[in-house]
Amino acid sequence: MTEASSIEPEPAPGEMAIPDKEMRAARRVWIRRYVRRRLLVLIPLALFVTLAAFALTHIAPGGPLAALLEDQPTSPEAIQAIKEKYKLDDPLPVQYWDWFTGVLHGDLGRSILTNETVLNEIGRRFDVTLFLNGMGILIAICVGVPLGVLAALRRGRLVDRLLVGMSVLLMSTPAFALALFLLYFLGFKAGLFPLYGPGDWLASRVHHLALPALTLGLHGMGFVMRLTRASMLEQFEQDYVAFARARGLGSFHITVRYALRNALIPITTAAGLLFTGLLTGAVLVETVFGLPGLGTLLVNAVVSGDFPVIQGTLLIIAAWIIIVNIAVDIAYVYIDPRVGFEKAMG
Amino acid sequence: MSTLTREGSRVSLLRWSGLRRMPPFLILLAFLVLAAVAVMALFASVLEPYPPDELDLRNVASPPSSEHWLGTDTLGRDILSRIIAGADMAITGPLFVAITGILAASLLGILSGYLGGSVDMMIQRCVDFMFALPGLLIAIVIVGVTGGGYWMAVLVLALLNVAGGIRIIRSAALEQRALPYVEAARTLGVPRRRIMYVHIWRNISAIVFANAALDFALALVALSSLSYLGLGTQPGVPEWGLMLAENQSLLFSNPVGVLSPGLAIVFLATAVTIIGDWIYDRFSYGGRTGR
Repeated sequence: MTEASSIEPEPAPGEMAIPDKEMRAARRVWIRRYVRRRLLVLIPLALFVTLAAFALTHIAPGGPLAALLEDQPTSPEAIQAIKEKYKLDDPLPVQYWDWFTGVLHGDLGRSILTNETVLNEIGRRFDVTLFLNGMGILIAICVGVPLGVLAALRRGRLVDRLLVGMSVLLMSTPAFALALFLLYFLGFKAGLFPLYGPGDWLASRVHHLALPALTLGLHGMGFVMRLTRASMLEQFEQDYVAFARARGLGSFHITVRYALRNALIPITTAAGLLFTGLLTGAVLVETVFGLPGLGTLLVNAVVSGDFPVIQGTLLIIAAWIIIVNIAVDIAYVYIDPRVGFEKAMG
Repeated sequence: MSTLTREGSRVSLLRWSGLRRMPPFLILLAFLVLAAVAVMALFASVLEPYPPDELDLRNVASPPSSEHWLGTDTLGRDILSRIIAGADMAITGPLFVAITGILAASLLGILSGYLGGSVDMMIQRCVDFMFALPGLLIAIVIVGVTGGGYWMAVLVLALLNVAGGIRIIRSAALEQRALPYVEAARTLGVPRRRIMYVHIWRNISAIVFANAALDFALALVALSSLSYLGLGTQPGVPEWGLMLAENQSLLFSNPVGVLSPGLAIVFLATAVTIIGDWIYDRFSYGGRTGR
């Protein structure tokens, strides 16, 4: 097999002449520069999101006062007291500034509904959402990518047709409907999973969250599968694959080491989009299963006009999306050596 | 880099969609589903066995029977009638989103791709920004906080949705710009507006409509998700997503009745996706038919 090794290291033009050490150094420089630049752009974005949310809650019919006065006897004194407590008479920019400086000190304010600090409310629910999303994305990728590769390899055959059909069905199913289908068939009919609630201790919690996580995983899987299939087929048409075939390289080797590695670039992007997509899916899935996560927190806050909680949750979600985006772009550098090197040199 | 691959991912999804060359009966089935929903929307009052708001107090939360084919909900309303009544909303909202998508993608996408330069830059920056936003989440917050109704939800989704279409049409227009017929038209002194919106548009209209079908399916899923959360739709309105939420407590006693609005959403969205792919396959040309 000496012949095979002599033709192997040529996946990307421009890469061959560069020693590994230099590559890695260039990569590090690029990542550092990139993260710095990205943060500079994304921090204003987070501010913009919270500012927009702030403006929205205060322009909404009745404003925050309407939310605050719910279920309470309305006397002018009560209104005055509430206005003073939440400083609603200050001009809006001042109110936003107060909230913003609070955030810098790690104080996100207090919930109107429960009078607990927003940070506590979020902290108590964060783990459920994190677990759901993490498991969901793991299932979506670990099952979706191999199935997508399989479909691409069996293109046009029955297996391919079935897999594509399945992915179209999954992509057309709203997360809440999928949750209800699974709840009925797997939870009730088959009795495999508990039906409601988050569970208390660790093992029970995993068991309780398995069905919601599976829902999210399947919800994202259709997209991952179709995208993997599409980008694998795109790679199979490239010259380098034809060349590798002509040289007699094994088809497993070509599929996994060459085509899949190149196909991974769009798939990584998809994983990033998936993270934001599953965040929305989590809102629905948490609602169906009655789980105390960030999603249900946000929906409850939105419905009752609990503006400190809305702003706090949105801030956390914005930060989440920003971090995922940065992680995805850094992942590119490791998957595709050309990215980091070109950027660092250019 | 990231925008480039993102664009690539959506375009390659359209191009390499595995639905191409589907068995004809599947396409026929998709058109039948769409036609059935359209008929339900147009002739709802004739088809409904009962008025959708009528309370049958003798049969509250009843399972399927000869009287009520899909059973009744917790207030004794006939579920089948409510599904038929909901077809109207299932079509109008997503249709509005799809049409907005067609207009925005055609106008701004071609403009951006054909002109290039600073116009392109500006449009693409806006598109990039909107693409980074989690659309449905934003819609949940806006619709929920303002307490807006169904059309508010439709409008917000339509706005958040245009980015994807603009991006696809832009890259398609970019491809067309380099082709000889465009150059010929330019040499003949055909006005720029005419080149963009007549010549180029005709050549990429299949992509425009295929994308609109995708928009329709996504909007249907998004709007029903909002209703499920109780946003954008008033309680009691026969909307498929809201029906799932209202009947959820009956899931284990009347699964068929509770899940059928969900199935209706899945069928309609799948049918429209298949039709969109069929449009792309059937009517687009430019050397891609072999794929």
